[in-house]
Amino acid sequence: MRIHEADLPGVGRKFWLHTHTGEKITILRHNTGKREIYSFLKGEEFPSRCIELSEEEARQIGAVLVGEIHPKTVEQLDVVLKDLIIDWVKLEPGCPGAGRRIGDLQIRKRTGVSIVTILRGEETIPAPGPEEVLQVEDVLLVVAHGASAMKAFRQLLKD
Amino acid sequence: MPDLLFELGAIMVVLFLGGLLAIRLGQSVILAYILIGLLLQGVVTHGPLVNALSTVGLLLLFFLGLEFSLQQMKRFWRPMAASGTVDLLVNLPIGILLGRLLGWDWLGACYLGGILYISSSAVVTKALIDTRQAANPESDTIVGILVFEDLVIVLYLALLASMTTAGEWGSGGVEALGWALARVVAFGFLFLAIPYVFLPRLNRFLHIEQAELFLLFAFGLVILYAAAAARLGLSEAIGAFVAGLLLSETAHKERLVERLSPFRDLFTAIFFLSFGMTIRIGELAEGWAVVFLILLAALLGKLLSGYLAGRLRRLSVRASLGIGLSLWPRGEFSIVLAGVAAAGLGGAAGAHILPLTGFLVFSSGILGLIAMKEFPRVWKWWSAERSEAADQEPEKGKG
Repeated sequence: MRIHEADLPGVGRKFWLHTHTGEKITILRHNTGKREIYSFLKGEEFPSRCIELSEEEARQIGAVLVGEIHPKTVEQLDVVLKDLIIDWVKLEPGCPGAGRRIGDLQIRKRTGVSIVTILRGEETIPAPGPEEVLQVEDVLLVVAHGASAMKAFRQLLKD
Repeated sequence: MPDLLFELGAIMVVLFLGGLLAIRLGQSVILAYILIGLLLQGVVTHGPLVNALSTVGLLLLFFLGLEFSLQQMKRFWRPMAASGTVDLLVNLPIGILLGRLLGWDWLGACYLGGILYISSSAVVTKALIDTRQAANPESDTIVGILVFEDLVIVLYLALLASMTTAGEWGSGGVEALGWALARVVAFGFLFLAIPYVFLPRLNRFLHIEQAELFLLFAFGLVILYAAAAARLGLSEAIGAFVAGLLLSETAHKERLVERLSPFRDLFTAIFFLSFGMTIRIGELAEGWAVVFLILLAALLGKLLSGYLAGRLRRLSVRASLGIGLSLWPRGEFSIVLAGVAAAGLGGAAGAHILPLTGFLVFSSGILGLIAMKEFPRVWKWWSAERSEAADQEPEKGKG
C-alpha cells in the first residue's frame, strides 16, 4: 500500500490510494483550504462520489479515521466508545506517581482503570505487570469505565 | 468629469452582470469581459483611459511569476519535460505553418504559432476545479503542461518582441535573432540574476510594517520592471513576470499575494474588456472559412498532443483525450502575444492578428469548457455502446 501524491500548481495537492478492495480514493487539498474526497469504483476512471469538506471538518474526520492520536501531538484526548474511555496520560516531572510500582499504587483495585501499554522513549511495554515501576515522561495508554473512573485515576497519580 | 465617473461605474456594473451571467451559464468570466468589450466598442467614450487602466492587468503576469518557485520547478521539471515537449512540438509548428499559408512573414507566423500553442492557465485551472476533474488521473499532466507552457511562452514572447523591435526578420536574419537573444539575456542578468545575489537584503528591506507603504513599493517595483522591459523592447509582460519571479524567492510571497490579488482581479477584468474593445471583428468578414480552419487546427492540435502526452505517461485513452480537451481554451497569453504583434507588425499579420486571436480565445474557451463538462458523459455513453456491440458480436458468430 502506498499513498501517491502530486503537486497541482494553482490548485493544490493531490493524494491517491488504491484500497485493498480495489477502489481508489483521491484526496484533493486545495490551496484555499478546502478538501475534497473522491472515490473511484474498481476500474472506473470517473469518480462515483465527491465529498467536499472544510479544513475543520477534514481535521475532525481525520482524527476519527486514525482512531488513536499520537501523544506527541495531542497531550490528552478522550476517545469514547460507549462508556469505555481510552486515554493517554503523561507523567509530568514532579508527578508523585512516578517512581512507584503499579502494584503498590493499587490502580485497578482503587479506580478500575487498566494500564494497557506504557510508552517509554522509544520503548513500548505492553500489558505491564504490577512490579513495573512508573517513570517520569512515561506515557500511559489507559482504559477506564466511565469518566469518573478516569478522573479518579488522574487524582491517584497526583496523590 | 461626472461623465467619466458615470462611464467607469457603468462599465464595472456591466462587467459584474456579465460575469454573473457567465457563471450562471457555467462559462468563464473572462469570455464575458471580452464579449462586453466587443459590444461596448462604439459606446465607451473614454477608450484611452480604459486602455491605460488595462495596462495594470500586467499584474496577471506578475502573479504568474510569483507562483513559480525554483524549488517547485526542480521537482516538476523531470516528469513534465516529456509531455511539455510533445505539446510544444505539435502545437507551435501548426500555428507557424498556418501563418505562412496565410501569406504572413516569418515573424507574424511565429506570433500565430505562440497564440495557438499557449493554453490559458487561468481558464483551464479554474475549469478543472469547477468541473471537479482535478482529482482525475490526468490532472497532474494537464497542470504540468500548463506550467511548462507558461515558462516557454515567457521566453518565446521575450524573443519575439525583441525581434519585432529589432526590425524585420528577413533584413536581420540570424543577426537579429542574436541581438534579440542578447537583450533577453541582458535583461535576465540585470533584473533577475544580480538582484538575486542581494536577496537577503531585499528580504530585510521588504519588512515594511505599514500596509500601504508595502503596497506602494510592490506596485512601484512591478511597474518599473515592466517599463524597463518595454524599454529594452521585450514587452512589459516580461518585466512583470520577472518581477514576480524575483519576489517569489523572498519571504514576503504570501503577503504580496494577499495584498495584490484584489488589484489583479479588478484590473484583469479591465484587461480583457479592453482587449474586447480593440477587436475589429469586421476585419474577419472576408475570411470566415480561414478563421474556422484555424480554430479547427487549434482544437485538433491540442487533442493530438494531449493524446500523445497522455499515452506517453501510460494513461488510458480516455484520460489522454481528456488532457487534449482540457487544454483547448486559449487566453491571457494569446492576448498578450497578439497585442505585442498588433503594435509592432505591419501588413496582413498586424491587421488581422487581434480579431483572429479574439475569435480564437472566445470560441476555444467556450468549446473547451463545454467539452470538459460533457466529455465524461459522452465517454460513458460511447464505451457502453461499444461494450454492447462487443457483447452482441459472439452471438452473431453462433447464429
